[in-house]
Amino acid sequence: MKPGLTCETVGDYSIFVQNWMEPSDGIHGYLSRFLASGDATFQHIAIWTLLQLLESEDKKLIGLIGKSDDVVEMIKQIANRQMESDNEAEDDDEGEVVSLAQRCLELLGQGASKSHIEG
Amino acid sequence: MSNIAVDATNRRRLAETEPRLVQYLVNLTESSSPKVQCQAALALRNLASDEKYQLEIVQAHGLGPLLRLLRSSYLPLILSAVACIRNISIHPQNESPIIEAGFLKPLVDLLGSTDNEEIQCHAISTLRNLAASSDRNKSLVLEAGAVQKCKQLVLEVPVTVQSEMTAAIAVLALSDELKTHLLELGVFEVLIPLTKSPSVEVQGNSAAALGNLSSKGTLTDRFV
Repeated sequence: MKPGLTCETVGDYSIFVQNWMEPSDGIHGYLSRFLASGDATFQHIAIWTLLQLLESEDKKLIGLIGKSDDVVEMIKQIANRQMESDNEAEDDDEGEVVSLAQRCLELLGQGASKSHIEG
Repeated sequence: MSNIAVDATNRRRLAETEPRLVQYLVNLTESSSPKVQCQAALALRNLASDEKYQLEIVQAHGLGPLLRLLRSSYLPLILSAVACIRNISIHPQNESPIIEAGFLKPLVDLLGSTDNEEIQCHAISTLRNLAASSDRNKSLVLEAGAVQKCKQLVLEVPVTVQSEMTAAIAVLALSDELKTHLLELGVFEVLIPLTKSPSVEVQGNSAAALGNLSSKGTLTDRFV
C-alpha cells in the first residue's frame, strides 16, 4: 500500500478528514457552531450530517469525531433532551433530532448512557 | 401590457380573451427596437408567473428569441431575458427544452460577466431550477461549468447571490453520481468558510450542501 493511503478509507470521506480543522476551522468548526447555535434547523442539519459521517465506516473520520469533546458533549445534550413543546409538529421534528443524536452516540460507542455516572 | 400582466386576475382574463397573446409577444421580442424587445420580454416574464404561460411560451417557440436577447450586449435586454427564463424554468417540463435550446453556457457566462446583482441572481437561480428534477440535468449543469464559476466567484459576490449559489450547489450535491466530482472541484474550500457567513440563509445553504455531500445512498432534500 502506498504511504498515506489507508485501507479503512471508504469512498471520498478522506476529504472530510483533510478538511476537519481547515479552512475556517474546518468541518469540526462548522459542526460545533451549528450544534451550539440554539437554532433547531441548524442543529438538525449538523446532527444529520454527523450521522452520515459516523456511518461512513471511515475509521480516521470517526476517530476525529470521537476525539472532539465539544461536539460529543453537544450530541449528548441533544440526545438527552426532554420534549417540552405543546406543538405536535414541533415535537415530531424535535423527536427526530433527538433520535438522530441517540443514533450518533450509539455509533460512537456511547449510547444508552442516560443515567451513566462517570468516574 | 407588461404592467397589466403583473396582476394574477388580469392574467386570467388575458388567458380567456387573448389566445394569441403569447405568440404576439414572442414576435415582439424580435422587433428592431430594443425598447419594444425589452417590454415584450418583461411582459412574458410577468405572464410566466403562471404555469400555463410557462408552458405556452416554450410552445410558441419563445426560447430562441429569448436566448438571443440574453446573449445581447445591452444590459436591460439581458436583464429582462434572464428574468423571463428564470420564471419559465420553474416548470419541470421546461427544464430539458431550455437546456436543449442552448441556455446553459450563456447562463454560466452571465454569472461572471457582469457586476449586476439582479442578473447574477436570475442566472444562478435559473441554473438551479434547470437542475431540479433529474440527475441527467444536474450533470449537464455541472458540465457547463456552473460549479467552477460559483466556486470562483462566491466569496466575492453580494450576499443575495451567495445565497443562490450555495443553494444551487446544494441541489447538485443531491445527485449520487456528482458527489465525487463536486468534491474534486474543491467546493469545500468555499462551503466551509460560508458556514460562518453573517447571512443565516448562506450558512444554512452551505451546511445543506456539506450535508448532502456527506451522505452516500439515501439522501435528503429537506433543507434545500
